Amino acid sequence: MTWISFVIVTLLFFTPIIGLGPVVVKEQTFALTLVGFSLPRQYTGYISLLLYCVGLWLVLSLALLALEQASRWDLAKARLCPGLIYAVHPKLSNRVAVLLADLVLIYLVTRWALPEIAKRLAPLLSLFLPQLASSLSAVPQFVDAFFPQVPLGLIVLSIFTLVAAYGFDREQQYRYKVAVLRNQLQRKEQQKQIVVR
Amino acid sequence: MLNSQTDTETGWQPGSTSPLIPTLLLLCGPLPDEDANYIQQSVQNRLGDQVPPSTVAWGRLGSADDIFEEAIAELVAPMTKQRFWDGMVARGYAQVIPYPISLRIIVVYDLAEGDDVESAHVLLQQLATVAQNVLVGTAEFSLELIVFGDGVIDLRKETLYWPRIRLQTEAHSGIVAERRRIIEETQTILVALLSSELTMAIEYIVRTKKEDVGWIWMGASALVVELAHLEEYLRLLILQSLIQPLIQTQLSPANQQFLDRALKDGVAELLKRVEDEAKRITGTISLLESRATTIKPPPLWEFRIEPKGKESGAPREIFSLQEELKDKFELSMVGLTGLLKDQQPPPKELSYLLCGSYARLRESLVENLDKPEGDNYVYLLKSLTNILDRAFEPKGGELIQPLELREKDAVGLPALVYAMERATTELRDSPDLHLDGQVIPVHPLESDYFLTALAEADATAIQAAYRRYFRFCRNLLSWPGIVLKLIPAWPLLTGILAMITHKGEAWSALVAALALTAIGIVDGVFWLVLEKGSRYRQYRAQYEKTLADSVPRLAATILRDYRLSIFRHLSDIFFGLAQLLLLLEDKAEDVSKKLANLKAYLETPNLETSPIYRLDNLTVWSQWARKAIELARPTPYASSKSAQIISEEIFSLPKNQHPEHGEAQVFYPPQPAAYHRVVSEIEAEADRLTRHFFLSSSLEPDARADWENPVGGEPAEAEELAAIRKSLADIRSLEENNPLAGEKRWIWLYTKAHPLGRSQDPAAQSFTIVTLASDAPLQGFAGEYLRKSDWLVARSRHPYEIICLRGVVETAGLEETDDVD
Repeated sequence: MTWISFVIVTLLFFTPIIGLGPVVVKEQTFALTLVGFSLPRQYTGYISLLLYCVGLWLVLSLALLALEQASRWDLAKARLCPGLIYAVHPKLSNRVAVLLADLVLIYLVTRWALPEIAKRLAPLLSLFLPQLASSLSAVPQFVDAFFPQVPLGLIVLSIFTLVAAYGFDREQQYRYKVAVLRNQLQRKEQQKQIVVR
Repeated sequence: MLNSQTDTETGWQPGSTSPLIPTLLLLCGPLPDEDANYIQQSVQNRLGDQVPPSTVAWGRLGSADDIFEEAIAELVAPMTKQRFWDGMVARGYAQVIPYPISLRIIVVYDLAEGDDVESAHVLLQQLATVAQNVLVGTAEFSLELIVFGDGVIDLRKETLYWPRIRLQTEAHSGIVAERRRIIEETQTILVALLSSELTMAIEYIVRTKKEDVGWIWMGASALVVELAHLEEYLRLLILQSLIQPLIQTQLSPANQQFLDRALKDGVAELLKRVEDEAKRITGTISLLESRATTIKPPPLWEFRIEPKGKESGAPREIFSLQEELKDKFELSMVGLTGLLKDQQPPPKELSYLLCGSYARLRESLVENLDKPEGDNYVYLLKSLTNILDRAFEPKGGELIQPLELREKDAVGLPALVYAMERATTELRDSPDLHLDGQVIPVHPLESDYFLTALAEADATAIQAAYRRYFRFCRNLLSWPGIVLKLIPAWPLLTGILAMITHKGEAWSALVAALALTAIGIVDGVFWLVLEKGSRYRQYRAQYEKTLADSVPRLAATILRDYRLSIFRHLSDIFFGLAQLLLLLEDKAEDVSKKLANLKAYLETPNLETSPIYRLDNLTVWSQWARKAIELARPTPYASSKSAQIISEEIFSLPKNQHPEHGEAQVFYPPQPAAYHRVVSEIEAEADRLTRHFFLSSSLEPDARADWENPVGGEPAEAEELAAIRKSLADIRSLEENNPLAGEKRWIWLYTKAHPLGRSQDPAAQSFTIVTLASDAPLQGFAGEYLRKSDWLVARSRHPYEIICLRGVVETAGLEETDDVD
């Protein structure tokens, strides 16, 4: 259910060209100061988008789970997506979205970290290897030139994907536990109580 | 008429019967042992069972010195016992035990001319005194006396005896008889005394005080009137000739060698074939295992058999096994393959379903084994039966003869028992029936133990294989699942592409969609089509291998179980036949004993048998008996009911107990009642042949057609047959011109029973007594002569003899006296 909600929310907000994401970002851009810390204006729209996505995803997931429970409809047995719950194979298709999200975030961190590290390392290295230190000072320019900036929307989507994947993992664990419990209960019911008097 | 009057003293009437009185018969005087034995033997033979032998005690007294009270008491003792009298009452010889009990003492004294008369008097008087001492207060007894020989004895001293009968060589009419004749007529008188109411009849005739009566001079003759003895003799001969080839007492070494050879060449060959077949099947199983990789679909049970000429990768032996199993299992396999449908989990009750299918397989296999021409064991049983059939029908028949029995003597139950023992030994010693040196215990064919175990093991293996496949499938995304998983990657990939390439969102979205679709398709095809199919094939292969292993193993086990069952069954039959052999040996012994007795009776020289059946030599009867057996059988085997019983009931082949329920064949051990039925069937057969023989000798020529023109008469037998026919013709003509037919027999008897003795008394009263067992001889034209005569009829217990006794009763005091000398 979490994955289905994730797919719906993703399609709603992030479908290329027609997704509602840019609209939300545009409308929700405002200045915000929290506990003396003023958030840059350009971020507020994206933070709102992330909150909207996660919120909508949570609501939708819980609603679908409640609906499933109320209607006694077992998704695990549904013809629509057999194996969706416990699926391991095919590995690539199964994990491609999470892999891409991971990739984006790793890229983001790397792109942010590299100039910072170079900036910190340069004074230290200038004592021993002055040439290397001078080349390190060129790293920020190099990164700016060759590594494009990650759009904020993409970052939001990646975070949302990872959150949803985490939620999906939790749902899998929960379903597995429930299935085990249900089996145990079923076995217990089938057991015959032998009363020795 | 004399016959119609009742004795006023005793109430006795001619033709009436009185209870049997136990008798002590003493042979006294200087009677040579030879003559004494002859008298005793002849009388016993003639009486047979008509008068119970236990009611006649025999004693021998040479002189007065031999008489001791103890000796007489010892002779009489068995007749005074309670048990003896209980038996008399139980058998109807007495209505109640009389009080006091009655005994008779008959004294036969041989007094030849010149013998010491005084010692005779002393003996007779002392005997009477001793008898009185012994029996007084115990039993009521009578003393009867027969004196034969030409010696002179004073009657007045022997008044204790009644009646007093005498026989002399010089007869009443002046003719002179031989001593031998006197002895024989004495025997006849003794038979009449013991088996009929002769004493009462004499008393009835005399009707005066016993003291006033002198010697009664008597003569006697006898005629065998019934055919029963002869018929019985023939019946026993036939019975003997029926049983004898069956029991054959001893197997000669030559016969044994022959049987060994026949078994070696025949049964051993059969056993080898059986062994080879089992080996071939078990060998093919190991071949299946060793070359499992080379077996390509079609699987074993689908029987898509390749043309033999083509090499298809699978070994040829497997195809030949397929062919064979197809023949044997046929439709049963369809049910087995239909159990599992594609992609469906095996049903929960798979083991039950498999068990049912295996049961059907077993049924079809055992059914196949049951075909007489198809199974080696049945063939073996038939071969053994053939040995028996040859015993019943020496000419052989149309049954299969795998053993090529040529020697005529290698037949009968001993041969069969010997062959059976050898066959079971051979079967038992077969190496594939042994495990660690022990014979494998038999699972009865009707037991489902093996089937259940096999089906459960197979179901477990199949279900485990399916579970592995199911787990794989459960962890596999479906096509919609793949789409669902790929959709969230699309905006991400679009964003990444747009970030890297700067080519606009639309272009990036399109490329991302294409890339993800390609990933999905490649992934899906690899996992959902290729990998899943391969896992499914693995599961099916496991399923196929399980069944492919089980079916031949089942076949091999069934064959082995069948073989073990046959072995067990053969052992049962072996013991059964040994029992039957004992029964038949007992019967044969019984028959030969009876035959000897009857022969002794029929050959008794003094007994005048009717000339129709008076044959010079009884061996002729033996020949006729054998001939009767051969001639009375219209076709071979038609009458060997005994062989049929043995084949059907003792050699019972496996039969379907409940064919409608599809249960397996069951062996029934031979029932003990069957052995007795075999014996009684043989007896019935002997009766039938005897009747046939006697009937055919008096039938009209047309009705005798089958008798005189038997089917299968060979030229070699023509002469013998002609001789038999001539004999039969002689008998018929004799019967037509029987000198003793009608009233002639009475005249013949009367003439032969001439009183032996010469009385001086002109007033002597003469009489004629005839002993008859029934009134039948009095009926009709033949009886008219007797009815018109003044002869007295005394009832007899002996149905086969008519005895005529003629006597002259002297008045006391006028008997032949000393003055002759």
